[in-house]
Amino acid sequence: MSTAEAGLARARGAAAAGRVSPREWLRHSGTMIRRNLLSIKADPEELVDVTIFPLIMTVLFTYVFGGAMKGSVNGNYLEFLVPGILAQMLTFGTMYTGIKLSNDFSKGVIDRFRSLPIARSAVLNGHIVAAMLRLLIAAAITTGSAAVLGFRVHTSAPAFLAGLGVLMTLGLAISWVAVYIGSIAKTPQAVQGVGQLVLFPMMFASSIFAPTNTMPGWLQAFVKVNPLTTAADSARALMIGGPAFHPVWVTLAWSAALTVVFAPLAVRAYRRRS
Amino acid sequence: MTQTRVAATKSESAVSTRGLVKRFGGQRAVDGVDLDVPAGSVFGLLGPNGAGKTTIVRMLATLLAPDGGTAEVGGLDVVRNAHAVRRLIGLTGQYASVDEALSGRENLYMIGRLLDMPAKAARARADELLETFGLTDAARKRAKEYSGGMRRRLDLAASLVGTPQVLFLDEPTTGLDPQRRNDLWGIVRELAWNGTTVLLTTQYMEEAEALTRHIAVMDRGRIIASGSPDELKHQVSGRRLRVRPVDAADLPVLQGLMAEALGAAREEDLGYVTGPLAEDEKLNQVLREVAAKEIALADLSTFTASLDEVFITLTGTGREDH
Repeated sequence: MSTAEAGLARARGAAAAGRVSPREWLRHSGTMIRRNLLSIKADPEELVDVTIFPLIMTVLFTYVFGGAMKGSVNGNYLEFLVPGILAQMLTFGTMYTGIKLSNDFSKGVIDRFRSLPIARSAVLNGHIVAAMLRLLIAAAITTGSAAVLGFRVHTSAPAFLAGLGVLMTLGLAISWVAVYIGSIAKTPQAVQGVGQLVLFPMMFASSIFAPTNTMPGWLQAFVKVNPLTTAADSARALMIGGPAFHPVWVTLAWSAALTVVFAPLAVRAYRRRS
Repeated sequence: MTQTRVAATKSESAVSTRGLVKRFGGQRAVDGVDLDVPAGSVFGLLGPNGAGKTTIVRMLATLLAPDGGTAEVGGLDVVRNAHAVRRLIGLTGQYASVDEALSGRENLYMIGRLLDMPAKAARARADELLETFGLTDAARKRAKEYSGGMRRRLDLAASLVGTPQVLFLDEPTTGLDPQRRNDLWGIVRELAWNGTTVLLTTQYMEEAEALTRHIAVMDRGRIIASGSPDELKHQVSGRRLRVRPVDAADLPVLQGLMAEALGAAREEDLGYVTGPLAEDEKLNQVLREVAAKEIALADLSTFTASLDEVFITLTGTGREDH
């Protein structure tokens, strides 16, 4: 009895310490990132959506449509396609974040974390940073495999990295959308459903797989403002060559807008969900 | 309502609530609950599904904000001092879970790190808990591959990494076989022995009786009875007297004299008559009158209603479920 009381008294003293320090915040977030990376290691299927799937698309599209497309893409469809595939990764790669967060909610893992004296944002930080790392791994695998198929960067290494940087910036912004959907959807399956419903049209009604100038006017109107188009165009310009300013600018504007709108919404939805 | 305050003063309470309310939609899932859990005790919150037990635990564990009333853990308000409360508590429940993708060891290590232990200390604590809970052999297996009993033990171990002062166990044995359940009871007893305050919810009177000295019975968001298991038994039906005459022809006479002496009596199966035994003197009174009427008795006993009967009587679940 007396030990229990002494313990409570001690804890009351510690209560004055209150919130987490910046150092603790870093460590909590780091632990959560590690947790997500370990789960990728334990479940490599997680990487399938962002590696094997783009790879299959690259091979299929190159050999199925490549020949027919030659005329409209200045002779080399692979060069056209690979930057597009890197942009396409942003869709399913980030949707995974929403699915995993939703899974944390439904499995009760979030409750466990919330009952611990840790930074409230650590769980989200872990998911988002892990998503970025997943995208980087996927980009490396995709570029490497594309190189085997004959893909070459025509600009420079810094330009190539700048292209990746633009894509990652948009990826970060879309992650907030995924976190928002993951926080409001009832089940991980619902996240996947909503994600596919939105992402499939966005993915194909873009410049990812084909030049847009033969598309009908009404579709072009959508394609032109689709951030996946500007992301693919940015990557193409920075990796292969061409005017980069406009698509990069629009992609970064999209990233800023999505982040400004969805980051607060996502954090609010995450906090409110019990 | 019958509300026996278990603890005398606030300073001795590890958990204390006053008029606690939680609404879901228009319904009051928790409807004005007062609780006092003495520090270092095992306290049982007993009730059928949907009684509001889990909701109370979630509020005490800072997962859910109350809509009314106050709740304190270790003298700290669960809303205003939520972060400090989290330093005191451990939670194992139907809903608080480990990460299935990680191994048992990784899960415990992760929690240690989140609790600001140095890496080495977190690793040592993880191994120590795996050993205590008989999970050393499964330490490297993913939690997904654990059996139900192993999972429950890992969940419990996860809530103990930080050596909490107050442990919340939300239906810790639901779905476990009797052997695993007994193992878990042993662990809870040991924790209590070491001074941890335990608040456990359960649907089983047997579990509450096996582990706790203090029980609060909940139904539809309210506490409808509280006290020690013995007090609860007496509160509902008290002791009863049961006698059987040698000759069944004596039953009506016996029933009549018992009804007069005890206030009520009824004939039951197998030739028995039973009635409530409020005071010991009544027993002698009945015996004197039985002797006066020269009725030969084959059997006589006193008994107390089982806690399950008490539970069913209190919550009225018997009508629907049995």
